[in-house]
Amino acid sequence: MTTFRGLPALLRNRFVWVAVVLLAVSTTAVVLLRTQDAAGRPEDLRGQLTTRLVALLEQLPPDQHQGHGHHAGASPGPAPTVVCGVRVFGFEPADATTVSAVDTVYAFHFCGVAEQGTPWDWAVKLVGPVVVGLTTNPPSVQVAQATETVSFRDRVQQLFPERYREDAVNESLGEEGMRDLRRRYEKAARV
Amino acid sequence: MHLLRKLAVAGVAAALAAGALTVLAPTGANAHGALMVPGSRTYLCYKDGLTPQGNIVNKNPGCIAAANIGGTSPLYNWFSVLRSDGAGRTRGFIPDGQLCSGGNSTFRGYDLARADFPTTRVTSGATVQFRYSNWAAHPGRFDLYVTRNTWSPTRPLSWNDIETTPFVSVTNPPQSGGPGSNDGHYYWSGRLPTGKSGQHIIYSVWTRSDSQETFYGCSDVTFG
Repeated sequence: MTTFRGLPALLRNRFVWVAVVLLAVSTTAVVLLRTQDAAGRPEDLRGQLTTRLVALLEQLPPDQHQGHGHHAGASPGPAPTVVCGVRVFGFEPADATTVSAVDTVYAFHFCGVAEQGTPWDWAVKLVGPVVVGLTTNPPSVQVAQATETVSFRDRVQQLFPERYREDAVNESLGEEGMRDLRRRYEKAARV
Repeated sequence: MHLLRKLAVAGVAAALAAGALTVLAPTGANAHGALMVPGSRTYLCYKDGLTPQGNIVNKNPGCIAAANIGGTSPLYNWFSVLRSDGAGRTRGFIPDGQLCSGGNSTFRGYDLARADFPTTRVTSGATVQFRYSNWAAHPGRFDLYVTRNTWSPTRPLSWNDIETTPFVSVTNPPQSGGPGSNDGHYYWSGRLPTGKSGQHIIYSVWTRSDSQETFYGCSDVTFG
């Protein structure tokens, strides 16, 4: 095998190649296993849904998010942008394996309006559990929010199936999610 | 119309215009003032729950109870207990039982009649420096009232529980730290009311002179 002649002796050993093939096969198997969760769904489906929801929430023009015109102008400089983090904790149908097969997403969202020079603590923020319907165009977004007559907890009960309610009131994107949101906010606000 | 509703309307309009998103019940909030010393309920509940990552997970039972009613979203905008149509009005405008929220439903949880909200210890008759956040500075007058000695923290705060005359009033006080900075604030010295002991509420009203926007807030204090 002239092909092998220029290779180091180790690589000319057939057992080494057998080992390489076996390693490649096992690695492929591990990768395949890891791209599915315990229920056999693609592991990155939540990631894809997260990306979709972040894009959805961030596409609203900042001035529309801000709304309160004279305050939006409090910081001189470029127009503010909206930076969001999302934690997806459920979707329906539960056995969906692709984004296109998902009808409804249950998530927690955290958006900050990044005005130039405005520290995180003082940014206008939009926070709460959301139900996003993907079957309509445009998608529907319902934020669990208290009303004059319905408390936040009762609103969560109305909007979320029982199995998701604990996640819905868990006030967090997770440590890494919050750190990432802060990083993105501070970059956008240049603070 | 406060920002929550403005955001809802604006969000829907923008989304529909963009053909991308229908916001059925969005959220939001805004603006720019609250008593920091002694801390208002929203400010101290915000401080109570703030994590190093910047989200809010309350520990104080009063704050938790308030969040159960309104969620934590209002706390991220703790400086927004306002009425855009306030014009300095108090009695007859803000309903009894809704003084701490200023009648702003977003902050309804902070109207709860509870004795376990975060409290600041003060001394009756002492001269202290008050601090009020200046997130977005505007000219105006600050009035501070205190609850009567007959008030009880276990019943909803009504106007009859508040002394009719403010114990401190100040117009356009000096500021420290720029607006929008982390702890920028107006400050002024004033004497706390005499003859007070135990738990009370200091009720603050900031009346802007350049618009009708008016801010309201309850600061829980214990006179030692």
